[in-house]
Amino acid sequence: MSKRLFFAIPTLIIISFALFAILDLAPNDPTSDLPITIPPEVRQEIRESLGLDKPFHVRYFKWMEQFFINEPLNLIEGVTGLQIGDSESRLRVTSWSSYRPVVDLIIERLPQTLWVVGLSYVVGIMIALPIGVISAFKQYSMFDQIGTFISMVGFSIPTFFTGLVMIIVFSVWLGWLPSTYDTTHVVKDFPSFWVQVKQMIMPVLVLAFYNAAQLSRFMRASVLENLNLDYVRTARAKGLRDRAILLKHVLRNSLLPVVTMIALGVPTIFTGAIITEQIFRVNGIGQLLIAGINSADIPLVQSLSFLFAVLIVTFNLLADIIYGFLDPRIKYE
Amino acid sequence: MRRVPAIVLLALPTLFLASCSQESTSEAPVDAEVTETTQDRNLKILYWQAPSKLNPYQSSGTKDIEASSIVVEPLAHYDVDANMVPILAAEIPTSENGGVAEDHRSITWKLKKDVLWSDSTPLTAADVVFTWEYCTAEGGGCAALNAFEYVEQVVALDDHTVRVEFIKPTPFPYGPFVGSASPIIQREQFKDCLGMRANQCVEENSFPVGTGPYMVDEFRAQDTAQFRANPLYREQGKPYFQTVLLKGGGDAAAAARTVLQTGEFDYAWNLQVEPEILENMRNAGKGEILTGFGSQVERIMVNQTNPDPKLDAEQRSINIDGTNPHPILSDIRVRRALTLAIDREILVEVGYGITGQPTCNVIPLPEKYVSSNNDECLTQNLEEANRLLDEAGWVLGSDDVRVKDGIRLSLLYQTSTNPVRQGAQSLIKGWWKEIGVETELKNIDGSVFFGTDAASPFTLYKFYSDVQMYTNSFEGNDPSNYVEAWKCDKAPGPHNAWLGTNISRGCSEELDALLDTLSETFDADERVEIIKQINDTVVQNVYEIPLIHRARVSARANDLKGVVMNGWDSELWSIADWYRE
Repeated sequence: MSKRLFFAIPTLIIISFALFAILDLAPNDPTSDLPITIPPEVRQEIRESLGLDKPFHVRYFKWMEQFFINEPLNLIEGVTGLQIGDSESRLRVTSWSSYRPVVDLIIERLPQTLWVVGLSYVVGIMIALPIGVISAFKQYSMFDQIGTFISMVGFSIPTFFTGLVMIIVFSVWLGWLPSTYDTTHVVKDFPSFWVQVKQMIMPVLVLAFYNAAQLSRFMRASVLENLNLDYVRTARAKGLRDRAILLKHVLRNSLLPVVTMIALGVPTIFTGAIITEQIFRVNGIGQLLIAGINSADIPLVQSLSFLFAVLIVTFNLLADIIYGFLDPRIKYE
Repeated sequence: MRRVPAIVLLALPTLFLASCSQESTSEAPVDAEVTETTQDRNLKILYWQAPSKLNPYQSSGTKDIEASSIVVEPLAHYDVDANMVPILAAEIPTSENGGVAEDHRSITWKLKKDVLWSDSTPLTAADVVFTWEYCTAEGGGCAALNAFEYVEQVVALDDHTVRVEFIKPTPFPYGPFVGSASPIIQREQFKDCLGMRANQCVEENSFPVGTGPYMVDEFRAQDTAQFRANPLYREQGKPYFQTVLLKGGGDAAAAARTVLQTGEFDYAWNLQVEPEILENMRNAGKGEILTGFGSQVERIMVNQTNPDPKLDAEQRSINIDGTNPHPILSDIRVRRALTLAIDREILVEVGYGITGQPTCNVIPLPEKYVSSNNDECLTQNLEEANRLLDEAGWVLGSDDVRVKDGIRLSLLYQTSTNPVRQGAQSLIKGWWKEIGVETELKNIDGSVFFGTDAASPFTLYKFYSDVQMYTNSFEGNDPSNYVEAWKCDKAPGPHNAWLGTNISRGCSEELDALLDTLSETFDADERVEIIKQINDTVVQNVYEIPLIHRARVSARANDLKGVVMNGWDSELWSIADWYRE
C-alpha cells in the first residue's frame, strides 16, 4: 500500500509539469477580451504586469512554490488561526482575470457544484441500481427492454441537448421552472427551500439521467455475471427463494465492481459538469474552468486541472482500498 | 442482520454527499435584506460574460468596464448621439467657457459640489489627481493607459477644480476621465494599491467605493454581482430599484432567451445571435431588442505586405523598406475589384438584421465625420470588378481562377471563430469566386486572434494571411487617435514587437501628409474635413474594406422603462433612470 502511495507523488509532479507545459504552448492571450480600442502597447504592459514576460521555468517554479507551500500554509492558518511566518507577503496562486486567489474562487464555487452535481450523482445511483438489478434478474423482459432503451437514449444524447429540451419545455412553454440557477439564493424557510428545489430540478435531473444510464448498464452486467455462477445454483439447490438469492447473495457480490465504479466517479462531482453548469448558469467549478480557458487564465486553469488530477489519483487509491476491504480475497502487497 | 452491509454500501455515497452539502450551506452568506425585497424592486440583469472585477482600470474585458459603471462614474459620459454630458463635472469645459486653454495644452474641469462617495466622504479634486496617478503608476497594467498617454500631470487647483496638462498641444483633450473606461476612483480606498500592488488589492477591486446610483453588496468573480441602492446618490429619489442582480454564465442565445422568452431577467447584454433566432424569440412578446450604433465597423483588412509562409520571421508580412509588397494585393485594381464584388445588403440580411447597416466608410458616425464620397460600394458591381481584373492582366484560367505571370489569384482569408463571421466569409468567398478569385477560409479562436502575444503566429497583428476580417472602433466620439493608426511607421513588425496599429500596412504619402496636417490643426471644422479626407483615402486606396456598421444589441423586458441604449459608452450609463412600470 505504501508503495502505491509513494508512486502517486512522482505521478502528480509529472502531471503538474505536463499541464504547465501544455498550457504554456497554448496560444491564447489574457488580453484578447479587452475592447479593441485598447492599443497593443497597453496590452503588452498588462501582459508584463501578469508576469508573462518571465521565462517558462521561472513561472513553473513560482507556481510550484505558491501551490505546494504557500497555499497549504495559508489553509492551515485559516483553519487553526495560527500565524506561520510572514503570511502577509506570501504570494498566492492568483487568477489573471479576477486577480483573486484561485483557492478562494474554488471555495466560493464548491457549494453549488456539490449541491447540483453531487445530488445528481446520488439520484443517478439511486435510479441506476434498482433498474440494473431488476433488468438483469428479468433479462429480456419488457422491463429490461424498456430499461435498455432508455439507458441507451440517456447514454447517447448529450446533456446539452436534454438540458435545452428541458428548458424549452419547462421554462419557455410551461414556465414552471427557472432556466437560471441563482447562486446567491439562501435557504432559510420553506418557501425559499422550494425556490431552491425548483432551480435545482432541471440540472440535477439532466445529469442524473446521464449518470444513471451508464451505471445501470454496469449494474445489470455485473448481476447477470453473478447469476450464472455456481453459488447461485447451490443456493437454488438448497431451496432458497429467488428474492433471498438476489438480495442476500447476488446483490452483495455484484455490487463489488459497481462500488469501485462509483468511487472512481466521485472526482467528477468536484470537477463539475462543465456543459450542464454552463447551460443552467450554475456557475460552479466546471463553469469556472471554462471561463478560465476562454480568458487564458493560466494560473486558474493550471491549478484547477491539477486539483482534478489529485482527486483522481486519490480516489483511485481509495477505490483500491475499498475493494480490498470489501473483498478479502484481494490483498495489496 | 447479514443484509445490513449491502444497504450501508448503497447509503455510503449519499451520506458522504449529504455531509458535504451541509457544510457548504453554512458557508453561504446570509443576507436577509436581499432575499426579502419584492420582485419589482429588484432589477435582474444578465451579462453572459460575467464581470471578473469591478475596477475598470484592471479590466480584462468590456464586461468589467460595464459592470463597474453601475458604481463608479467618470467626469462625463457620452450620450446616444456621442455628445458629452457632465456627470461628476459641473459642465463640459470648452474653449468658449474657458475650460480648454488657448494653447490646447490643458483642460480645466470643475467638479459638481456636494457629491459624496457612498462612504459619505466628499468627492474632491484629490480623487481625480489620484486616479491619474493610479493608472499611470509603473507596473500597474492599467487598461485605460492610452487615455493618459499625453498627460504631463494632473493638478488640483482647489477642492473642486482640477487641471489636466498635456505634454503637447492636444486638439481633443477629453481623453482622460470621460467615458466608462476611465472613471474617478476613491483615493482613500485605493491609495495602497499603486503599481505592482494594483492587482493584489482584491477587496478594493471587488468592492469599489463609488459615487454612482448603486453600491456593491456582494461580488462573486465571473458569476454574480449584487448591488443595492446608494442612499447618498446625488439625484433625489433615484435610483428606483432597491437591488440589482448582475448574473453571468451561458452564451448569447441563452441570455436572449431569459429576457425574451422566459422573462426571468429584465435586461440581457451583447446578444450577437443570428437575426432569425433573435426575431423568433422576440415574437414571444415578452421583451424588446435594443440597438445602439456607435463607431463599430466590421471590415476586411487587405494585407499590403507579402505574407508568404516561405519567408522567414524577419520578412513575412513586413514591408518597411518597400521591397516586400504583396504579390497580388499591392495592385489597387485588384483591391477595388474585391470590394466591388461584395453585396453588403445580403451580408446584413443574413448575419445582422436590425443590428447592422451596410457601410462604405471606416468612420461610420458621429454624423459630422461621415463621408458620402464612397457610397458606390453599396451596390455590388461584378462587371466592373471583372473589368478591373481583366485590365490588371489577370486572365481567367481553365479552372475559373484568374492567373497572371504564373501566380494564381488565390487568397487566404482569416477571421475569428464566430458563426456570424463564418457565414459572411462563405458568402464573400462565393462572390469572389464569380470574379475568378479563389479564397481559402480560415478561422482562429478569438482568444488567440485578438491577443498580442508576439510569439503567436495567429494574431491579427501578425497578419499571416492575405485578408482578415474583424470589427474595429474608436473610443469616445473623436476619431483623432484612431486615424493615427494609419501612419506608415505604425505597421507592426519585429522592430516594435508587433505592437503596431497599422494592421493592413497600407502606406501612402498622401495619407501621412494628411495625418501630419491633422496634428497641427486645431480648428474644429477643419479637423472634421481632414478626418473625412483620411477616411476617404483609406477606403479609396482599399487598405480596408468596410462592410457593416454594427450596433450593440441587447434586450429588455417590456415592463422595464427608462433604458436608453448607448453605442458610445457603457450600456448601463443611465441605470439610475431605469424603473419598472
